[in-house]
Amino acid sequence: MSGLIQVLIGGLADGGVYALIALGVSLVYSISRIINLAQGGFVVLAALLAVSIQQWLGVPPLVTVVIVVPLFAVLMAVVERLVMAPAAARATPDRMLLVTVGLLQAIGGLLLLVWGNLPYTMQPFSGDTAITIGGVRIVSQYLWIIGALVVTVAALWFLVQRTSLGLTMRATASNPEAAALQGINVGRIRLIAFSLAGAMAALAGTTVIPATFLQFSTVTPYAVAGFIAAVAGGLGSTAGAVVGGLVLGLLQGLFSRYTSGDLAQVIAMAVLIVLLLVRPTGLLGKTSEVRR
Amino acid sequence: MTIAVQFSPPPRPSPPRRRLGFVFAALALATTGCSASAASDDSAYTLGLITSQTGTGSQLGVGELQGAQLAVDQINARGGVNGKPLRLRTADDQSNPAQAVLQTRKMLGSVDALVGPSLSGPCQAVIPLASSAQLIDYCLSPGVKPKPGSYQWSASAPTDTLAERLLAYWKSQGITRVGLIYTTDASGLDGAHAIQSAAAHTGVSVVGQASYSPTAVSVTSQLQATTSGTPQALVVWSSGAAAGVAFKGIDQMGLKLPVATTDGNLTYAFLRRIADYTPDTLLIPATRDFWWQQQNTSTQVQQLERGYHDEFRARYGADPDFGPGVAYDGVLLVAQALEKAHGNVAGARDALESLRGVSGVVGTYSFARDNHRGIGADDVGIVRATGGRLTFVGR
Repeated sequence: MSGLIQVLIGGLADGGVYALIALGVSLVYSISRIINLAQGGFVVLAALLAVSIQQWLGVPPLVTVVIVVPLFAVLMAVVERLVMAPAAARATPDRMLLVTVGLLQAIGGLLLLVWGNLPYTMQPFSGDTAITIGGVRIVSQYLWIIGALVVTVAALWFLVQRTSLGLTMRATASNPEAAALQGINVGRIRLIAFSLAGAMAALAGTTVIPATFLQFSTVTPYAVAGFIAAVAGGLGSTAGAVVGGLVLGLLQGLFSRYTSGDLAQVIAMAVLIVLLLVRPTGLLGKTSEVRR
Repeated sequence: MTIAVQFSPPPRPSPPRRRLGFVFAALALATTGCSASAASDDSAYTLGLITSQTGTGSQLGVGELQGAQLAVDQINARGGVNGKPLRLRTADDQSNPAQAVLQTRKMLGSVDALVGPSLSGPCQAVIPLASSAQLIDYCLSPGVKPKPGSYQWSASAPTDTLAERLLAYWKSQGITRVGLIYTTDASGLDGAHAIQSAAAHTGVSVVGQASYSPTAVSVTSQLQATTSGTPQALVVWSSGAAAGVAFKGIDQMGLKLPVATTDGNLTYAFLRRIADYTPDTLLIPATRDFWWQQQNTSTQVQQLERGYHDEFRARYGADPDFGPGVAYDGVLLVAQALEKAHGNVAGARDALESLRGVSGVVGTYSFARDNHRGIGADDVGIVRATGGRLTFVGR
């Protein structure tokens, strides 16, 4: 029994990272109708940048979060202004998918060029500590990952539901044209959405790198997992992104325990595809999102 | 004497007419490959060296280029091959089979033999071209299995031998129950098969096993499956980042078992990278170039190894690891074959097959028509990785 719980805890930690990626994808989609597949690439970029910053400055690993998160909020805003906005003005949302795939490839190339092909990791935020309860070992960094997810969801909920900026974001998400006619600066709201997604990518990258090894080739699995979690949860739904990410992590963990590595991936994907066939809106998505 | 090293320029976009011309030229070369096998320059022998200078294989490829250059320089310093200098024409396959084919096509007709590529995929991709041109191809990856009488050779020790040596060593230490975790790529599957076969031969039981994707970032579930049968030791048959993820998972789960891994991780850069997460006992089956100083070997072998290691260190400022050794030997062996065949490119295959008891830095080679690897179990020992360094522990 403790073995199964150990598997579920590992799956939850992986799922927490997927959920953070899916949140960024979902937020950007709800505001701009762009499915940003490059979100997973920014996660690995943030992770490797955090490792380099930690080595250069000699600061504790946790401090890198404070540096990298705002940096990526700015970086993603720059990407939105220089790449996404000009491209979106000319291309339809489905063609924007190709732009984000290109961006993902570019990030992978940049990682290989700057950091080479060796894997990178960082010391855990709380050192190599772990809690053991009833034979189940919980690594402290897993708690940081889940904590980062909880803080992100809470902050996003507060922003969207309790602030005037959140109100304008909801109005833009619901109907961008109508929001623009009401005097809302839709371009600014889109910039803010991308910036928040950048911060989420950085939070995911900096909290996961102490729990694993990452390198340039890890961008694709994260991009795919984040996309699937967002779609399975329901594109545009914050709660859906979280549920989709956690379910995907748990399914992968469970199937990896009892089947071969590749088969586990296939089965986890198959379950989510069946889910979409039965419920095209995803777990918590709205019908209008599918029709659109 | 210095050698001429030519880097093939990266492919550039060409206008449609030129591109069409290139396609015709490539087709013509491919169909008339047999007649284009001899190098055009009679004043020297030229080896085509294709390695992965960029991409996933560059961890090996960069060192391979260094090892090959050192071998060529040493051969030329001794008077060359049949009195002619040996030249190296190099190319980067970007760890990509398609690029490897492209670079091989460019070399056909201007090289006397091929050494490389670095990875098994590109090696498999270039062998049809090399065969049609009747050129020896000394693949630097141990992951290919050359057919008897073919033009392909494979470097280093076979996976089966590495696995048998490892399990036999553990058996001698009283370890008879092992867990196995491996990646689902060709190298991982080959290693898993070799461990399972070796277990049957050596009387060791594989009591739990699991596989994972080479790009996985967590292996908690797989380690749980692997350790469910309470093994005395673990085998991690994966390399690079995937191995790092497994070692980190072992550390995070608090497992204190001896661990063994593949020789694909025998690069000092990688061992230094995982130093903080290296299991207390990490064993790696390794060829002679990693333990020659700690074992009684012949005077001739000692001289060869010392000359190779000292000169490599003096030239590049680092100890040679897996890549340089296989490429160094590859150049030495192919040069000997060309010398024995008196420059007859097509005859070099038979000459290479006839080499027996030739000492290289990786091991002592004895080839045959049905043995295009030449390395035996005597050339494999077990080393222990500690703090980025390697220590011989047994055979």
